[in-house]
Amino acid sequence: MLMPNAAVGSDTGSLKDLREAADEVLFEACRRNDERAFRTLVERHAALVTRLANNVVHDEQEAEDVAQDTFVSAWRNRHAWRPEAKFTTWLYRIAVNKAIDRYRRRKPAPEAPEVITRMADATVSVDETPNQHRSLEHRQVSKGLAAALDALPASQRMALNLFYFDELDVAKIATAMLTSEQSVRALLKRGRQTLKSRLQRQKNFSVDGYSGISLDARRTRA
Amino acid sequence: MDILEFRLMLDALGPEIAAWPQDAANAAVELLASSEAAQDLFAASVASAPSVPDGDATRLVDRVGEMISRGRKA
Repeated sequence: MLMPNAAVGSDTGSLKDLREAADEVLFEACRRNDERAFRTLVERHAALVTRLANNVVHDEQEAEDVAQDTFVSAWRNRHAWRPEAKFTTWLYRIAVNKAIDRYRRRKPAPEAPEVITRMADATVSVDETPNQHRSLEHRQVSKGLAAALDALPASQRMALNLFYFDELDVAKIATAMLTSEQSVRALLKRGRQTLKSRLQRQKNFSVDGYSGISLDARRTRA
Repeated sequence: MDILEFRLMLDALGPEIAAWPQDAANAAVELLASSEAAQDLFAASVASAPSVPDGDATRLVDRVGEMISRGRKA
């Protein structure tokens, strides 16, 4: 029997050997043009690669196309992979990038006011340091999240801020908030749930509300 | 969006980025395009998220096999 870390020869490995071999061993065989080894890898990772893509593109057929592109690209670029890298990390990065390409191609062209805002921002950023630019960008893209966080009860907001933005562990947050670790875990859980419902309300508002309506039409409505 | 916000959004809303508020989804995609750390975090989140049972991958496996064979012959 072939051990997970043993080599897979292009003609010698049985189906059982292939199925038991580690990803990296199989992909090493792929680099020697072993298509059977690659087929085993596709069978092994097709589901997660498709799911990864579907979480971005939200369309099963497109997700399958992305998965296909991902595996074909992995095969074509197999000599670019370095054996010291984990195969799945490398593969999933290809998948995410392919899914992003699809997402971007499908995204509708921005409406005129949005373009003007971006141009204005670009002009401002010329005189700014990279850090200032990042913080400006940060504030813009985080508007929705910041609003949702601000609306949380103070204790939930503080726990989430300390955990996610100050990167403190639960024990340190408990000390800082003069409470128990169990309470902090409960605060984090409730905070995430409240945040989820508020962010979903924002999404519903943008879908059912003003989305796709011109500024003039919005004024008329108001 | 930075990686810290992205992590919070993943934990709060789950990895289905397409279902996030539009501006957050766009910001997340921009981050994913430029950050391998974000890509790895996203992949881990998808892998650990509950999901419906995965379908039959045979068709995909065959399509990929066909593309590769075609490339070899060309």
